[in-house]
Amino acid sequence: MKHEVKLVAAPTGMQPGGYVPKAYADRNVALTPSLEIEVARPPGIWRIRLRWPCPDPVRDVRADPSLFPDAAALFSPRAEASPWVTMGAPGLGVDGVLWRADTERLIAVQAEGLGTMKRSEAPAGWRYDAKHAGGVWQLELTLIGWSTLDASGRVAAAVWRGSAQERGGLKSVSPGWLGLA
Amino acid sequence: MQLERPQRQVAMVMDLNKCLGCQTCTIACKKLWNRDEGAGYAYWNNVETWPGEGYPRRWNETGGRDAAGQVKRGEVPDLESGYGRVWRFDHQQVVHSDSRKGDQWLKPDGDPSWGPNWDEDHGAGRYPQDNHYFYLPRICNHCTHPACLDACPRGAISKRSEDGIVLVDQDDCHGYRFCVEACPYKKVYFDTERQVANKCLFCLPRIEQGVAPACARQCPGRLRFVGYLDDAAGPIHKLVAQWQVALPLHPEYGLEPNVFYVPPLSPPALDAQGRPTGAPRIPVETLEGLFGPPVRAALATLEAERAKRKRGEPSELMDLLIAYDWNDMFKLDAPAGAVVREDAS
Repeated sequence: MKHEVKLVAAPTGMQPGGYVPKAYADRNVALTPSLEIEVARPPGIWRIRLRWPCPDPVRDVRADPSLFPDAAALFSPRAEASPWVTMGAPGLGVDGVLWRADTERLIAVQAEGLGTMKRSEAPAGWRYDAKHAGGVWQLELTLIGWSTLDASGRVAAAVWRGSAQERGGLKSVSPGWLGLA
Repeated sequence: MQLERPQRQVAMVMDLNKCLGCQTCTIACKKLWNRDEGAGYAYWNNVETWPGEGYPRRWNETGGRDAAGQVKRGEVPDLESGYGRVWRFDHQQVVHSDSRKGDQWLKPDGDPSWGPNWDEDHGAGRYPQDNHYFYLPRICNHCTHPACLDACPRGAISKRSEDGIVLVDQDDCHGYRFCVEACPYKKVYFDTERQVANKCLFCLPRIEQGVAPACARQCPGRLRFVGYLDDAAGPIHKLVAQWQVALPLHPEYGLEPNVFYVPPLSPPALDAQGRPTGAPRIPVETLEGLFGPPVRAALATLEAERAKRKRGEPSELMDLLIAYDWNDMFKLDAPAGAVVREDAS
């Protein structure tokens, strides 16, 4: 199953703190305009291939404090009513997987609202393969035992373009939950 | 955003008339706190020549506040042209060289074009009429309204109620660097290896023991006073509130910094014939640009008190600034039961 998703800029006005909403009030266009999501479901496995345009990839950020890595994430709701745009809410959390171009392992994430994201080591059965060619990132996620997605069948996606210093709430996101089942 | 004010605020006053530019404070801080590989470029304490480009370069133009104190988008300085990369030196090549003495000299790797103190002692003005510079030591200002705290979407930065020290919780930091962008003093740094923010913690463990920060205790010029703002018997209160000769840096940003500076007096400029003009070598406008309009009154007070002392009259202010007894520069009330180690350096 393949989805072509038109991404939108995550609304900066709702970001926590007094700085980002004002300093980035003008950032209202998705810097990554689209994302292709292709899903295969061998038994017990989510194999999800993501493709998005990225003309200027950033893989290594250790050399300079002003560098930010390309990254992408998928979130799945723990509850039917878990809001997508705020990455969940208290008692209505989301679970996800975060890929950063500068790290070898995937990162498991949980959140119950903006600014609450917790990172942890991804389960041993989660791995990725990423390639950048022709101005496009292709990321293949192999996720074994993601029970939240098994239950919900839905994800929201986020893409960060490192060369534009996107991080945190500065990102391109899917316009809502996407059904993968 | 308005924070509740801390119960007490620890603060520092630096007398710019006494700074030698020796960087002992810089080394004391760096050796004590900040030797991680990913923070080699970062100096929680630095001393820069002023007028000058500063460290990081143009820090006073690239922060997240404008001259009216409003939020504007700041910048994260880059390594090569902003902070200056860490220079590596090959001592072995020089020590074990077969070349004639003087042919080999110790030089940094690569071809650096910028770094901390690149413009040391350059200053401004025309020699010999009005050339001038002074040293501006800088640490985190532990602001009453910290821009870094306001900028962190994760709430990983806090201001302690008991002493007003601003801290980064690196366990909660996700390395977004909005704090680095937003701080108009550019005093939050980023550890590129550990991928977390770091900054001056006002030597918190020492403060908790009633011992002044390393940068202050090791200062050979005796220019740093440390204490609590509300301690009427302490040097900070006297210099800031009573005498009003210690001023915050860039008060127009509206963050209420808690590091204060006694502005530098300067010898007179010369006219074309080499005669003193009576005007100070360091233009008052330069100092106003750093400390705001109150600097004029502060300079007048300093000059008046200095003149009294020259006439042999008593001056509490001059005695305080001279600091005959080094211990008088630090007045930190230790919590009950704490062991104060006066031998700590």
